[in-house]
Amino acid sequence: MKTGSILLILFFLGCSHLSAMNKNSAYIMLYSQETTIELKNNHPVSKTDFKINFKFNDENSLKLYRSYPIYYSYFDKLKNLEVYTKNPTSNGKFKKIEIKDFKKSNASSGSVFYSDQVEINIDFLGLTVGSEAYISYTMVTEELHFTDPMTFRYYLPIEALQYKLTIPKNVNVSFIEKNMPPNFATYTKLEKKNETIHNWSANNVDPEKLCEHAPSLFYYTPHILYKVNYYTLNGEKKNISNSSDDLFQWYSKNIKGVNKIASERIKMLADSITKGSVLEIEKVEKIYDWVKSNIRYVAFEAGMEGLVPREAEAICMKRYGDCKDMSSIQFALLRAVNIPACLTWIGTRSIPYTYSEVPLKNTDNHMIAAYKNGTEWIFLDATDPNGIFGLPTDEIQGKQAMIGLSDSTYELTMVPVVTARVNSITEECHLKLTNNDVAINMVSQFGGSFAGNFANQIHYLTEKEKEENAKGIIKSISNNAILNKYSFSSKEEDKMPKTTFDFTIKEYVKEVGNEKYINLLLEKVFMNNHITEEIRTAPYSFNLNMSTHKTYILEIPEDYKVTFKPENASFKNENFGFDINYQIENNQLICKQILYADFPTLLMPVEQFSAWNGFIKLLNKAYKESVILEKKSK
Amino acid sequence: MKKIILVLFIYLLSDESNAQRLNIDWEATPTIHIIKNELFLKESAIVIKEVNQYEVSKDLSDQLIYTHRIHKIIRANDEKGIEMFNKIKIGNSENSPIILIKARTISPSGKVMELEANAFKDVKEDNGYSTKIFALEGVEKGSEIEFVVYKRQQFMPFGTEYLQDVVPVLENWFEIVSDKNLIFDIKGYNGAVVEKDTTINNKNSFLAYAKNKVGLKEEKYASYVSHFARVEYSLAYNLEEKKRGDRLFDWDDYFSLVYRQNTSFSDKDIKAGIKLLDNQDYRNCKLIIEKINWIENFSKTSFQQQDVVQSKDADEISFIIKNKLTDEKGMTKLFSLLFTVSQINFQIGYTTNRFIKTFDTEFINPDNLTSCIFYFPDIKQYLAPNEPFYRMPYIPSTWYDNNCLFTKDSMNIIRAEKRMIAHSDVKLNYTNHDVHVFFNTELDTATIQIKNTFQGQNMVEILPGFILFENEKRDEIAKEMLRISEKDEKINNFKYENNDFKYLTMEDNPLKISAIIYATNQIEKAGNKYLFKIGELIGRQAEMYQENERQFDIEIPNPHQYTRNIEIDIPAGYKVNNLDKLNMHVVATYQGRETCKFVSKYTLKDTKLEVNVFEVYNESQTSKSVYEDYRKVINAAADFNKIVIILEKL
Repeated sequence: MKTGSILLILFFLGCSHLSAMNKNSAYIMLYSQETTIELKNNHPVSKTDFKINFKFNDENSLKLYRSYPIYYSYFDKLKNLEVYTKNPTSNGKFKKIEIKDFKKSNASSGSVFYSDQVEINIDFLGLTVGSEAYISYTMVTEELHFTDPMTFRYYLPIEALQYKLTIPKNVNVSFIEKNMPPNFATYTKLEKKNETIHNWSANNVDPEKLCEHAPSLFYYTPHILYKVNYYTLNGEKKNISNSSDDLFQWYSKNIKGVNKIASERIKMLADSITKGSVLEIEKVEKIYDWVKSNIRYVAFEAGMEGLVPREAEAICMKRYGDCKDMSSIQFALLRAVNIPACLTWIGTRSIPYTYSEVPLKNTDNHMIAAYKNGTEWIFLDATDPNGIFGLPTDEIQGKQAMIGLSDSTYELTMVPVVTARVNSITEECHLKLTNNDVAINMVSQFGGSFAGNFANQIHYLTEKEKEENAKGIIKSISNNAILNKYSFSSKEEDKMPKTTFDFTIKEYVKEVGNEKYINLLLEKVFMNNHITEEIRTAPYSFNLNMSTHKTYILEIPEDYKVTFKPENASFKNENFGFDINYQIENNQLICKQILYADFPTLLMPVEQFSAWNGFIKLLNKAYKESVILEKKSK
Repeated sequence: MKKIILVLFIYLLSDESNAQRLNIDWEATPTIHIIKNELFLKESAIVIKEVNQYEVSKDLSDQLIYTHRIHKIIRANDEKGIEMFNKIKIGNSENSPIILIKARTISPSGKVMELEANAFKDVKEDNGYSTKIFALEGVEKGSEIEFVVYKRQQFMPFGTEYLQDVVPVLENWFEIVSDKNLIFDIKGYNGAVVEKDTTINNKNSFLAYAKNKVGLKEEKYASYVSHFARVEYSLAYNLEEKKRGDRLFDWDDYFSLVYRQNTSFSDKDIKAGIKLLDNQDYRNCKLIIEKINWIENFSKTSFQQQDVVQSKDADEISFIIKNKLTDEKGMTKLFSLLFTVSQINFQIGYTTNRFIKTFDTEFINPDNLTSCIFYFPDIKQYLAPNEPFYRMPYIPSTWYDNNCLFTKDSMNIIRAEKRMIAHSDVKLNYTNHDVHVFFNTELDTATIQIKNTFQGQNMVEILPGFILFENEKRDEIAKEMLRISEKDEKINNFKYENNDFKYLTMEDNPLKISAIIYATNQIEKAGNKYLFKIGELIGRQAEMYQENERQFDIEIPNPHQYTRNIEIDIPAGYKVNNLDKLNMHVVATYQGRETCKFVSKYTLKDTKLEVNVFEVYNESQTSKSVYEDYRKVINAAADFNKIVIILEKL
């Protein structure tokens, strides 16, 4: 029975709002965002008028695009929402239908359990082929430490795209352009007596293309961020987002008062966790381990809760918290045993910005704790229940961290990307033939971030589910592999966890006449990772740098001899490569394979795609080579 | 005034809370439960106790209402169990507000942590429902999570309550408490036990339970939800209003109501219906079947249907025609109007998705009227009004081989008629897979001309993707469907035939998708010999090599078959070996019937190798006693996937 196809279609139907559609189906006639900054109660606020007009050209578009969501947060106010459709009638005219009923709900986003972010969902009414829909509303925000990016590509083609920003003379703004191709949008600037008007416009814009293995959209989609640097009031200059100093000051003000008094309970807990340790670094590790193992991730984000961590004592009682809470309790526990820990703001890899470039709240979505060991920072992200002490978690590698050293001082530093040398998998496979079946003993050991990832993989499994998981792992080698025995070493007993599988693949060996053919390379990592898109602007994103060292050892059956072993193959450059080497030792045929992908930013730029595809081609060629065993003549 | 009502209400509640059999509250001083079942302790969590009690009373305006009391205790055994149960959501809408909620955690050492009032948050979900959510505090491995909820709920004279879970359940109780005059029918399924009803303190108690139920796990080729223990209930008698022995509602009552709701139209509605049919294409339709086809396509393309429409008028014909948007009920009504106006004789029927539950028509529970079907006696065909991507004669395959009830008009009296819609012949639900392969001179690429043909249910289910999407997106979907390895290096030249809903209404106009694949992954080398993975040409196949002990009977949505024709041009100067594996014949039979089969045969003529592979699944439901043989047929296809032929230079 063929698998998977119906699910796939459901998937496409489900995410249709993301898909790039042909211009003939539906398009945005006008997308306009006009922002005015003004001073209200001596504080700058932004007011943005949105206009979004859609055109529906065929029956499919009525099914795919008949609703539109608007999201806003605690800091925003939605005003003047007006929606209507214009629908063609038989006499060639349009009939207008106003829409007044909207679905309002709490916008749920992935891991956040409770959020006060609001989603307004608009159902367009009266749509037929040829209809048009008109949405207009105003969003007022009094908090300018984050700003809405002006994006230039959407999920539908846009006929006319307009951004207008009106800035009074006593407010200073600047713009950060990201991924804007030359001459993509027309920019004009109009100086008036009391204000400056900035305009960007673009016509006939294609929708954004989503690519495989791409980082998040903002890494490659054209967009512009504006930031309000400062405003002048009664001759006095007041900074908002002039530099990261201002962002830090705002953050620091928000968290003022949290964990100011070390409670007795926290002190006692910290003492009990660190009992028996003398070295500071050991205590740090123990506290980090305790928090990630005992505090579960549950996020409540309402109002300022989205920005301010809770008191350590409350988190300790509840035994749950979000990233800020986990940072708060680590901070408090470490400070309770006189270890200087720092609250640290950071964006996960889904956000492409640094604080140096974009000193806005847009740059981060996460908080961790940090501790300086000599000259080296150790990043303590307790949201990963199996994070490895001393290694940054996957999601923050390569990101700039804002480390709060005190109420008024901070440091910006880059979180290192863990190298392929550290993130290693070492594997040894013994293969033994019984007729044409092959019995395999495979021992794998996981180093670096893989150790944590492996632990996470089995973290939520019962013993029975672990067995199913083991079956799944060997099935990825061959779906008719039968598991005989398995073991997973636990993290507690082993810093580098180990898995052992004993399994059999039936009829793995192909036999013709006196010859047996066997492909020793059981696992073909990267075999399908060639990049097929001919035109692509998105870089290729890796979750982790990695290296694998695999050794396959085939016991040559007594009555057989090796008449052919494949040629050794190799490709190496700074960022990726492999080496496959065959040799015969006594009655064993040994194949050693090394493979690595190592990128300083975990992103492969488009310029490297052709070299990468060349590497994959060579690798695939080597993957396809079998050994020939021939029956010895008696 | 408000306060007085509230006090009165609380008084009423407390007054009546002595009546029922089950006491819905937690212990003042809880202790951790002792669980003896070793197997249960190996699961992520255990539901130690769950109680759902519905007490019927009258509100201040003399309307029947329920007070729904919930009490649940769960033991979290491991991290996954904690993740599953440390966050709870309870429905809390305007119509069914929560009037009491409390929750606590009991740690393995017996420490109790009760949530404070501000820990319960109100959430409006995007499906329009409101919930109260809360996260339990202090949960660790071995903790027990306990909560008590009282809700005032709209009175529904019927319903369903599940008593089993994905984790083991030690005991799950269900009770309806009502005034003496109200008699409920109650029926247990999948091991739910119904106790004899009793009267205590002038109140009736209807009680059911399930005990020591394992956590059900999903299985391949089986329905899942339909196996959970559950009770269904239905208000049967009101001793005050009718004579003892006269059932309040039976299926005939319900179906005559359904009929009335969908056939009584105002003059204005009728006029609007006539106007909708004032269309040249419709007027060109001569036969009844043509008219039905036109009405179906018109309604499903011109009017959009969604689960929740933000208007109380969403089911009104005038709203639907103006706004082109409605919900399921409104869509059914629109269809009825157009059939009425066009004087097409029809019946309205209902069934269930048998993968959720088989429709037990013996028990009168209108909760089970989930899936609406129109039946046209003149042409003996069925239509699914609420399935925008189906066209007559197709209805979703999980509605076949299931009981249905239809409105039957005899001498102007509407009755409910029971019927089962049988599946169409297996030969009509097919996929043909034709491939023609030739190699380049370097023998490193196989050019594969591939054509897939889908008919019947095999066509209906995949068709929307090839209609709704165009260009690259459509090719993406086709690529996923046709591809033979994980990712083929190059696949192009996509062609589509009959990708329009209208072809569903015509006989023998299957969906055809073709493309050319340039395959490199299928060719391997051993010295100077080429190993061609011919088995992969039939596409990736599901397998059941290593399975756990079978729990459920085998069930698939519908009988279907696959015919694959593989044609390979052997390159000049090469001979081909290892062909004998291509002959396979695996059959599963049950009570003399052929349940399923996988057969493949090859022929080699000069330089042309032809392989014919036929796979058929004749039944939608098969006893698990045939499971071992069934598995062999499934695995035969997966075994075929692994066949390699060897090309050797002459």
